[in-house]
Amino acid sequence: MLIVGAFEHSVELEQALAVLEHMGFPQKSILVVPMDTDPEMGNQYIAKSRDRYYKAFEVGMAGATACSVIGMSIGFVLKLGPVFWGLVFAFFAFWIGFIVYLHFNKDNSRHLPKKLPEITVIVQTSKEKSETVMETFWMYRALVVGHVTGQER
Amino acid sequence: MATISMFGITHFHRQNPYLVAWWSAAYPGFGHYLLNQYVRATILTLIEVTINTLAHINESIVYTFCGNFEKAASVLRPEWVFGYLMIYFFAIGDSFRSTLMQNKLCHLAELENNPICSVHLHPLEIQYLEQKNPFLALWYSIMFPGLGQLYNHQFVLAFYAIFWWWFYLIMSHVYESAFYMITGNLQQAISVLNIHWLLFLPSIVGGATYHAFIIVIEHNRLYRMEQRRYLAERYGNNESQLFPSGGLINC
Repeated sequence: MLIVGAFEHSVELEQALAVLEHMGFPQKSILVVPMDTDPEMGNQYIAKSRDRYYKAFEVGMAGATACSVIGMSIGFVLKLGPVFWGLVFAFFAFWIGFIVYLHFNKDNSRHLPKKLPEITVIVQTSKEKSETVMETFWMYRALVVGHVTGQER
Repeated sequence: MATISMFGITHFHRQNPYLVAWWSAAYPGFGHYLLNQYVRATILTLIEVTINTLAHINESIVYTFCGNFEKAASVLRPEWVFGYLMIYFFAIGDSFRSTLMQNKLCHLAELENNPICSVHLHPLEIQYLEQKNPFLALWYSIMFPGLGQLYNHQFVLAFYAIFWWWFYLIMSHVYESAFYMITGNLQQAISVLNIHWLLFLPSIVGGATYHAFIIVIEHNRLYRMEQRRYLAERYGNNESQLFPSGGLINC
């Protein structure tokens, strides 16, 4: 019988595998397949659709810091003072940087859900033990679990 | 690719050289923190705060933006300014150049795919690689610069930043100013501020936040890389056949 589970990258995944091995499931009966979430292999480790927003955030932060210094300086001769103008400049510079970056870097990736099945685990076992494997999968935060009742070896 | 010590994780990562150079310009040394060159970065930040104070750079910046150019020129101390400029531009150029080099080294390290030791037990500390939330690091840093670094287990850098943030808060009187502003005393809110120390604040908050945010993302990436490598090594040479009787032939 085959039990198939999909996980995110996590400590729980390693716990699940360690527990299964500890329970006596031989290492050879466990198959682990790391899945790519993006067709481009080059950045397979970072590939998540949220990357674009991270980059935009970085640009926003850089802009906010620069403009905050300018706003603060000018604030000394303006009515509401340097702290107020420093914060206002920082706020607007952040959003301008953030939006301009997103505008010039259009999203051409697929819209992926927040949680992705990044690792597939397949365990070959007897029918009696299959429940234990499935329970272990669920206990350690498997995203999905399935099973195939095939011929016994 | 990465090494772990009592002080945390030191690693290569790919970065945009212009952003690194920009953080060096915001505060000399911050670019080198992003390059994981912690000792030289720390010394550069100490040079920045000392020489800036002696040369009155920040006051001059404020007077310039306020249009008071005569005062902007007269407040500067020439004996410190020229040396300050040399080090300032060196820090920018050097961090830019080092980023290009580290990006190449990072590429090589990725292809090499050597194991990353992800736990380090020291009599005084425990360090480990874990998955974290970049926005939590961001939030902590904005609340109090240095806490983001503590969240990333870089405790020496964290307490260095925390010490200096207290120092800047007290010297600039920014909390008092905020208090006067809330109570509607605008005149007092401006006059209580110290120009010189106030002008450091945006760079510190921005730099500390950016650093904490980037480091979380990179630690997460390292974690995923190492887990993939480990799983492939331990469960990759599997002899079990999913279709023992030969698959399609028997159907």
